[in-house]
Amino acid sequence: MRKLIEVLEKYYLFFLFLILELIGFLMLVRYNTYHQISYLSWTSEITGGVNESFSDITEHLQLVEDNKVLAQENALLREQVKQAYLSTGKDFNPWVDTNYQQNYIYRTAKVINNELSKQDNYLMINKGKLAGIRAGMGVIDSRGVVGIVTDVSDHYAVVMSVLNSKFSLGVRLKNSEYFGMLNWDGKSPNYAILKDIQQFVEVQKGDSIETLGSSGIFPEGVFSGIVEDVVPIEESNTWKITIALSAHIQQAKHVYVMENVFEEEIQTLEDGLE
Amino acid sequence: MTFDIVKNIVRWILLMAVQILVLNNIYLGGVFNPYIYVLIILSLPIDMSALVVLLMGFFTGFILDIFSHTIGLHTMALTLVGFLRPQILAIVAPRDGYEFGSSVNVRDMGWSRYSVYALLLIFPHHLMLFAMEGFSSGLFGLAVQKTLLNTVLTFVLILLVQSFSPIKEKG
Repeated sequence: MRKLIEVLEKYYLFFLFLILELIGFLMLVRYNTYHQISYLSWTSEITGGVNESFSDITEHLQLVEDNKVLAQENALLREQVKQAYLSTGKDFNPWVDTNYQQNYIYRTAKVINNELSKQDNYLMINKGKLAGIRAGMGVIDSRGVVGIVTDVSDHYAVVMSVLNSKFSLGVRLKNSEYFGMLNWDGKSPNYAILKDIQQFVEVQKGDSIETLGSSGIFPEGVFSGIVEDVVPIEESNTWKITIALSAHIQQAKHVYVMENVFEEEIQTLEDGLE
Repeated sequence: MTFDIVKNIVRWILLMAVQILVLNNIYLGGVFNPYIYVLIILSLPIDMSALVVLLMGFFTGFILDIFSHTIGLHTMALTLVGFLRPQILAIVAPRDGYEFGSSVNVRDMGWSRYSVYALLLIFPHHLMLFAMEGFSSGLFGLAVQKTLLNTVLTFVLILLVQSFSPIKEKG
């Protein structure tokens, strides 16, 4: 017993070091798996405050580009409003059509912190629980898919970026409708990899990729990128397709958080299956 | 003494701010991510007790983790630095020990001695950091590459900061 105490006295620093490393490792394992990031929501309030005040200072540097992107999107949306259509017959009026029901609610938010340098990157946005944001909602900007909300505090939300090794997105080729999962390979923030398309499918550089919409997080058909490079994977008989992402994550500033109105219904149905 | 404490707190805040608000947010070719906040532990006073240095490493890493959504990652890496620092400091010590009142910087230790000291601490930190990052995402080849590249990058940045350091030693 005395021997033990002597050893402890002599090496207590080393034991403390091991204990602290173990705590670190357990935290790493516990808090960094997909959808378990609902950790320490209170910290988001603090870090959100710091990030937001810094973002307020730096956002002016990007205003010209931001305006251009938003103006382009406005033009696109104006094309779709009622006034842009000429009524050519009185039998059919697409704007008072009871066949359609709103599926997604869009909420605007501002990116206040945007990581790029890691394998698992996250963004922080300035809207949270009080604004109706919940974990699991999809986030897009005017150019494409940005990520999925993983954690919300009262005023802020953490978004798992497309540039995250745990993120995967169901996408399909626009012209042929073959689909697969899009993942980030951890290299360039402009490209992601699509591996599930079989080699009998013809894929060409420049083909468009859009969301599949099967999970109900993103609507069907959101433009997400362009085929940049196609290489066959010999062992698996599929293509390794490099996709140039349409959303420039490193520039994402004004984003939309999408709430699926039927989320609960889908969830109930899926729970019933299990 | 009071000046020393204030100096360390100011350094802590400045380096954390640079790391969180600038270095974590810029994209430098995918593999370059310097972690200059290691300098916080590197620059602590020589006579600070090993226990305090170890705990400083743990908590500083944890706070950085909260800001960068990597709970546990920087905690592990910086705890390692906190544990190793007293040992490395002893290894690079001059034959007759450190002069009273000298600090851990290039000016007091000389380029060569400080370089050995800094590299011996930056390398384990980066190795731990990128290996653990690779562990959670399954990319080990990239981890080795990143460790080597960024050890050099962080080291150069730290030397730069040292050579421009505005804080003068009191006489």
